[in-house]
Amino acid sequence: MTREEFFAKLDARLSILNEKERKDIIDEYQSHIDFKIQDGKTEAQAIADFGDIDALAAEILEAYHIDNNATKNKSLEYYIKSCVNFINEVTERILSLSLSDIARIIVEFIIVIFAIWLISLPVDMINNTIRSALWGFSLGGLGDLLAGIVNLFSELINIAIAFLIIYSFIKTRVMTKTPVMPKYAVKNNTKSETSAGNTANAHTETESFSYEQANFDVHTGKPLKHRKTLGEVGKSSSDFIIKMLVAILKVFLFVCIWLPGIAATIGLVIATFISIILLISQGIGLWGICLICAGCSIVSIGVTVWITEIIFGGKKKKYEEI
Amino acid sequence: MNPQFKKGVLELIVLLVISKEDKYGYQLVSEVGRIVDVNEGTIYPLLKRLTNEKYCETYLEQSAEGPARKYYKITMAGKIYLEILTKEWLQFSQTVNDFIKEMQ
Repeated sequence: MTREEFFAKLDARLSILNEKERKDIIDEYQSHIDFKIQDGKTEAQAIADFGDIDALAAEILEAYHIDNNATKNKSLEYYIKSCVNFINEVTERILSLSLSDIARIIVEFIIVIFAIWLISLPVDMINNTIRSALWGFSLGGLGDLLAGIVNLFSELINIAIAFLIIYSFIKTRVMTKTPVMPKYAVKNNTKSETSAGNTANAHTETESFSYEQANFDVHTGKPLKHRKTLGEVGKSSSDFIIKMLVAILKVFLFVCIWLPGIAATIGLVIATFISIILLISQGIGLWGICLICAGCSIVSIGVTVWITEIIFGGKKKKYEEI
Repeated sequence: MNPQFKKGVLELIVLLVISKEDKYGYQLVSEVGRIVDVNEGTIYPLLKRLTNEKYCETYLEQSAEGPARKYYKITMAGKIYLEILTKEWLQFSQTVNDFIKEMQ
């Protein structure tokens, strides 16, 4: 079988996959065959090493089938994994930064915190206006309850905005710093010269030079996808910290989101019933409050069910066999 | 060797290999091939799955000879998973070995 025949057959058998995935896997096999030929095998031999093409295609599809399940079911496990990887990347990145960069980030971070505070002002203002308006209507206990709900929502909005800003700050300012290549070259060269007397020292300097260089595309000078960096120094301790973070995150989700969610749902359902009872027994204009309570309880039930699914839903899915 | 045995430990071996050092596809396949005699084609789908499950990630790097290579790098989640797999394997093989001795 020639290369063209092999890939035509494989492509046909993988037609169920989308184009990008198909190209991805076929590229891997293409380069695999290239390497085999470099190692002195013939093209036919390299292709024969893949064995029966039907079995191979079945194997690939099987792997994708599991993938689809894994990505469709965005369980708590998936979120924790993404979170852990993100935190780890950030720590690696920060540990690999120079002092001046860290100073720059700290200054920028202070500005960001100030910006978050500024943005929170209008939200607080709206919150306070609504609450004083509610008190103005003198609705008694129900007024307090509604004021509490308004307050809760405005705080949640503030937290969400702050979280988004900090996240995008880390993404744009910390993760994608474009270092200038010549700077590294000059810096490392001078170091090598000063430590020329000490061979061992000079050796490590050259090594670090090539290591830095390996992180950049030779032609464009742009950084390649981030590799292992000096962050390795803090590995063993960050290992432990990340394990702790996963545990804390689990507890946090349960205690701070799930439990209040349940409490809020129960409270809102009770409030709905009370307002309906009041509406029937007193017969006066409580329609608005009745509808607000009913609406809020529906939203609250929805949110609680969703969070429950995130916390407890994914757990059932154990790692499947390959 | 029983193919079911191989399939079970392949994930563990692949993660072990990339936990030492980032590897590109062919390098990884050859290294794994030294330990288990397995059809080379089957390692790529496994790598794909590990990547989608966030146990490893990929990046492209230019090479002196030929086109850019796709490297596989273990993630923190992958390291934790590897630790669990290693423990499970050691315990399981110990139990089976003990049982074999007991029966002979």
